[in-house]
Amino acid sequence: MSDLITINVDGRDVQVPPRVPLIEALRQQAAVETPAFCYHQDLKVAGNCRICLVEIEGPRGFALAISCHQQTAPGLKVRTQISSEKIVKLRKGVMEFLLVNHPLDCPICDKAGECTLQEHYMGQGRHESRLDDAVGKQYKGLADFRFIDAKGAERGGKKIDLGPSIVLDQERCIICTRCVRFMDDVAKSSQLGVAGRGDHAYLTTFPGKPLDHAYDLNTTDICPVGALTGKHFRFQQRVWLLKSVESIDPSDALGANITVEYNNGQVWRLMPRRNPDVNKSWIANRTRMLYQELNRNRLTDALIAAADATLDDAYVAAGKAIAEAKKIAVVASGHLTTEDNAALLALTEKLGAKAEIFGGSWLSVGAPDGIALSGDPVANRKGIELLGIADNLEDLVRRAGEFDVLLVAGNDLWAADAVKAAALHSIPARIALSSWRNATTAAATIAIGIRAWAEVRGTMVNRNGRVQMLNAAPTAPNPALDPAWLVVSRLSAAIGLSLNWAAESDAWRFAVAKVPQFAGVTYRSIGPLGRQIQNAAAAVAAPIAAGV
Amino acid sequence: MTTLAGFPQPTHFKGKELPTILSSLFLVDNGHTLDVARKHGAYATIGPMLFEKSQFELIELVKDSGLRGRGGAGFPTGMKWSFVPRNSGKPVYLVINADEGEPGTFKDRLCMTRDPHKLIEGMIITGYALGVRTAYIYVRGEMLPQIKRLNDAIGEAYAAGLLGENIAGSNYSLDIYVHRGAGAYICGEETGLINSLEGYKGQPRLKPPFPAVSGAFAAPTVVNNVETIMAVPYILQHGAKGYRQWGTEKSPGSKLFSISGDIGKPGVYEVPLGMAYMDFFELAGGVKGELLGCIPGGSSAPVLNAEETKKATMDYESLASLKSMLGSGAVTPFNTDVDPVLYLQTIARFYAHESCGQCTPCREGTGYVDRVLDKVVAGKGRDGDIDLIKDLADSYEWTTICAFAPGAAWPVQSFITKFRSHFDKYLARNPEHAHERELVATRPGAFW
Amino acid sequence: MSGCVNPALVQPSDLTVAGVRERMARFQPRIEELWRRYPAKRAVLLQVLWLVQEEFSWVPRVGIEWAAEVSDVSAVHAFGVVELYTMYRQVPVGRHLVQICQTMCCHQQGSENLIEHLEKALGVDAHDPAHHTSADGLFTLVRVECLALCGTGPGVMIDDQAIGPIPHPLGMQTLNEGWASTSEFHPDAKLLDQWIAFLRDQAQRNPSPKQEHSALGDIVLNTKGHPGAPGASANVLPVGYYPAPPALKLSAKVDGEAVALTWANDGACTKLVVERSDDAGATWRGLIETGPKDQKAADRLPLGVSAQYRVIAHEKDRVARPSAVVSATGAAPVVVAPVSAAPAPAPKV
Repeated sequence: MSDLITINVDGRDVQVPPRVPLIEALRQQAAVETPAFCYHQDLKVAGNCRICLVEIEGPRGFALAISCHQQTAPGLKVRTQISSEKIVKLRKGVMEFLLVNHPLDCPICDKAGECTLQEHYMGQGRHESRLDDAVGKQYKGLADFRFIDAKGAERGGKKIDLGPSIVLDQERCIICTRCVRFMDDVAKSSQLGVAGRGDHAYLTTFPGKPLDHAYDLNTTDICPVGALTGKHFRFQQRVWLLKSVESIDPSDALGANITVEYNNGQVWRLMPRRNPDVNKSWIANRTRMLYQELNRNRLTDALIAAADATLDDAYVAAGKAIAEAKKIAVVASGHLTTEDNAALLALTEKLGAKAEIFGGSWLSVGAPDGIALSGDPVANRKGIELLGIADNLEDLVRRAGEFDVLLVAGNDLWAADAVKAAALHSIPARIALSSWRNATTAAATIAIGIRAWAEVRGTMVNRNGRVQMLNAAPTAPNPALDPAWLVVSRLSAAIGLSLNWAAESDAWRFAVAKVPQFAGVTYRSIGPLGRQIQNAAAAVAAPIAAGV
Repeated sequence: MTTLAGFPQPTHFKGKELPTILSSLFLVDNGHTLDVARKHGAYATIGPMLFEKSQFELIELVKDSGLRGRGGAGFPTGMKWSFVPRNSGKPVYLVINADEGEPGTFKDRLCMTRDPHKLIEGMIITGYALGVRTAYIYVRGEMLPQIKRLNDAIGEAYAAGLLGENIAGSNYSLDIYVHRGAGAYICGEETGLINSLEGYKGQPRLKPPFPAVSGAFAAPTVVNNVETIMAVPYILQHGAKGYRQWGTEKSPGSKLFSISGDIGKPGVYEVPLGMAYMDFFELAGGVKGELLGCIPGGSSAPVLNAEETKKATMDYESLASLKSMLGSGAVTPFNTDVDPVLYLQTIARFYAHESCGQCTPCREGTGYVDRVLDKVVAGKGRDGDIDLIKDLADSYEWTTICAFAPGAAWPVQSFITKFRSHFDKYLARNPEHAHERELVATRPGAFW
Repeated sequence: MSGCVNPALVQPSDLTVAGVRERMARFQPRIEELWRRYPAKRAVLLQVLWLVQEEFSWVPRVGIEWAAEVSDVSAVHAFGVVELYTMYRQVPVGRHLVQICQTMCCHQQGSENLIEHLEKALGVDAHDPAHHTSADGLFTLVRVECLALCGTGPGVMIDDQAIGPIPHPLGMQTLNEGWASTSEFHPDAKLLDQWIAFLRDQAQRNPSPKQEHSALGDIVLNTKGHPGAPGASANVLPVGYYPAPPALKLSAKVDGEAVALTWANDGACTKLVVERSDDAGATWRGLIETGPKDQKAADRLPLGVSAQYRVIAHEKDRVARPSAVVSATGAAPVVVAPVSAAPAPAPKV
């Protein structure tokens, strides 16, 4: 890039972008580990934690400045902890102050292991405490939440029920105001504030009012300590035991980037994954809670005529139905990956005049909220549109009489609109591929369990024309379950029209061949942050993700 | 005859006349009313003397006068004014800082009580010089009588056509509103005050941008102390030279000093800058007992011991050379009967109480120092506690957004350095002062 | 830490926001005046909270919610504001609030003794917000930090007044500071006892007094307000309400025949005209025109010839009055040692 400027960090010239927070330049271009508590990339700068202190050369020699508020400018001279003893000492001082009134309860703290305070303390803290027993924390929160600790001192609330989803531990709070700024500037609903002053300052909602917002759980992510914790994850898992894969929100067409965190074959939480072009650092509570569905009401095997059956039996039955069919209606789904839909499309093509493919959804589309939801619940609507599958479910309803087999994958038609779906009962053989037991599997003559979104690898195209990857966590409730594309591939083999696909990439290659916009796009080139294949502005009128 | 408790100043001292630039009306009965004030020359400048001058001339005039901010920092006023961008398309605000709260300072209270019209006159001149349409006086919440007096004076000025639209027949219009604070020392800090004016918590803002560029309501704003602005009418009337007849080359003019503590006649005095502290003590009735030390400029200013006090003169440079500051001009001498440890304890408590709680070092540090000091005073101090306090003060001295933390650190550092033996005596009261610190984590019940 | 008048106590809960709204209706003219005064509604928050305190003598939670509504801010923001400022009281206090300063000079002058004395006399504990009001509900005693009454310390305020001597020649409600009969005035236990007795006596005579002061100090009503604020009728300042800025500090330095003129001018000038007079100021002719950023010009004067100079600044089509006049006389060239100390040559005209 030609617009880089040169700054000097610890006597070393570094090329950095102009007018960005110095802390970003230090961390990224200069590779100087710079701690921060209050600074967050996607929030306004507050500059109150003071741990990111550096020395900046000014007219009167080097002076202290905080690197989060300082913007990069040509010729800026910076001294960090590497070349300045003063910075080392002062940061230790700040760390000591942070810990003076912070409890030593890491063993019971959910944040332990991913706690910014813990990390920086281990990195450069004052390991020898100078705190005196007689000079402990002097904390007074709200009267209702005071308690007497083992040392006989009055303390703030340890477990304040802030609202439906969050618990506040007042004495862990280091008043960085990240959560306050999130609620003010991102959620645009000022529900949190800091009250009091000096070391009596405390985080609170208006007394008696809850913290209750569709995005409030993001405050637990950005909380640099364990002060705000989500009720859903309190005391569930130690975070260092969790493994994770990168994925996206499968319930919304923005495809907010997330990580799926699992352990022992179970998903324990979904965390937002920063993508400046999609969802910044935020996800909706609704998205975050999707993991709970992964263990609930799953179709772990198959159903034939509403009775439990093995997967193998169901494959045979379905294969037979398709083989004997005169005319098959295949229904693709925007809730499944592009790969799954590619398989349905490939099968339809192989079947030739015997089959016809339908697409679309009966779910209603809302308005984007400007943060991390587009309002369209059909996550991969764009993907099936690109594959050339028309939005023509109405056609199917009108012409239901023409078909004798219905193959519907991952599309709960009966739940979306039972009245319209009733017309499909006239089709004698109804095969449903589904991760969950739902109205469609109940209405199906053959229902085959498939892997859910967190358990498959594949792509979706968000409504702004961005291809994004889902990755598979090894958490399928039944290891024998297959992703939908593989089930379709099996069915095709059963009727002698084998697709012969062994991996997701085979399905993707098929899609690439079909869709000119996918040309040259590989899983590797999609990467963790996705790849824009259409001009975002042209693709959609709605804003991508807003924030600050 | 009633004499004025707040203002016991004689007209002459050692054969020389004392200045009455700011205090001309302090001893006049009903000097706070427009009629009386006008008889004594108030608003003489509001006419051709002002309206025939351009903004540029006025700012240059104040620059030349060498007037410096009287609130504490001593920043050259004319230079502050010159930072205000003109024609930025945004309104320019003048905010008067009357949030007098620095322990030891009580001059602004007297100014507003005795001569509100001089402040209004100064504000009209300043407002004209800066292009201000709306000005605010931010008055400390505790000073309700002064607020009432200001409001009365403003009402009189409106009625006389000295405020509102087309002041005294000119093209210039100005409205002045009094804004009542609600009890927070930190609102005396320029940006804290602006935040408080805007209805936020009075927590100082990150700089840059500086208020001169983006202050109140994100518009250019000048914040000046009451006393600073009250000097402006005199400067306009008598010119920079007239103002410079008082004071020293680098600290010209006169200043109101509030003196309290172990002194014969505590009160507010207007004296030329550059006067020796010992002379000032003589003027104010002499130190009671034997001088031990003196806080030369409000509680934030590093304390001077007796020797330094004898050398010091009342101007910015002399005190800077002694590593202290003139601050708000609050002089607090204390004698050998005073225990400097207890003195510092009240100061430390003050700063712990008044820290706004925004930046970590100040929020936690001031409270921490306060508690350790309490422990020492209670006779439970251990060896190393005094060094700990000093080290904590060093840690928060320059690491925060505003100048509150240095102001809280300086008294701690200076008292400990200059009166160390007094502190050590407190440690000696603890029979176990040499014992090692008991490690909390080794005791049962450390986790709860 | 003490001195906090915002204890975390459970509040009487029979009030509602609607109830507050009803009781605050009488403040509407003042609220409208406040709205007019600031470009943003939120700026009235502190003032509106004062009005709540004027009405209730404390700030109930529902009052905070009401104030937040009036100021167009969130309730939790208003709550944070109330908690930061010590003067908003969140629990009911006695009829009279006695504040005693405990900082520095007042401590030195014996404020602790006064507090102790009053605690005993009133049977209260100034440290404990739960027990700082006397049993008869007349007095609440709090410790506060500096009241700016250091000279007549220990600083004691009763309600909104710094106390003076009693009996007071001007009555209680007058502004008594600065009117003490001697500069040696310092409140002591005896004086406080007199005040307490005086106020008790008053309370007996008049059990339910009328509110005698306004929490905003009788603000001037019906001003034209801040241009553009809700309900305001004020106009913005006209452009160029002040005369065009003249050049200042003109000075001439003569070096041999070279005359160097320097001056200061406003950045708002558009051009400057340097004029010269050879007849002691009787007639002037233009010498040079410069832009607003050039603050110097040069001329030549032969040996012994004198001239006057002045600068006239222009600001678009406005002309400022001429600067002060300076005179210069051409002199013999100064012989300067060669090498480095040579002054810079005068710029060419």
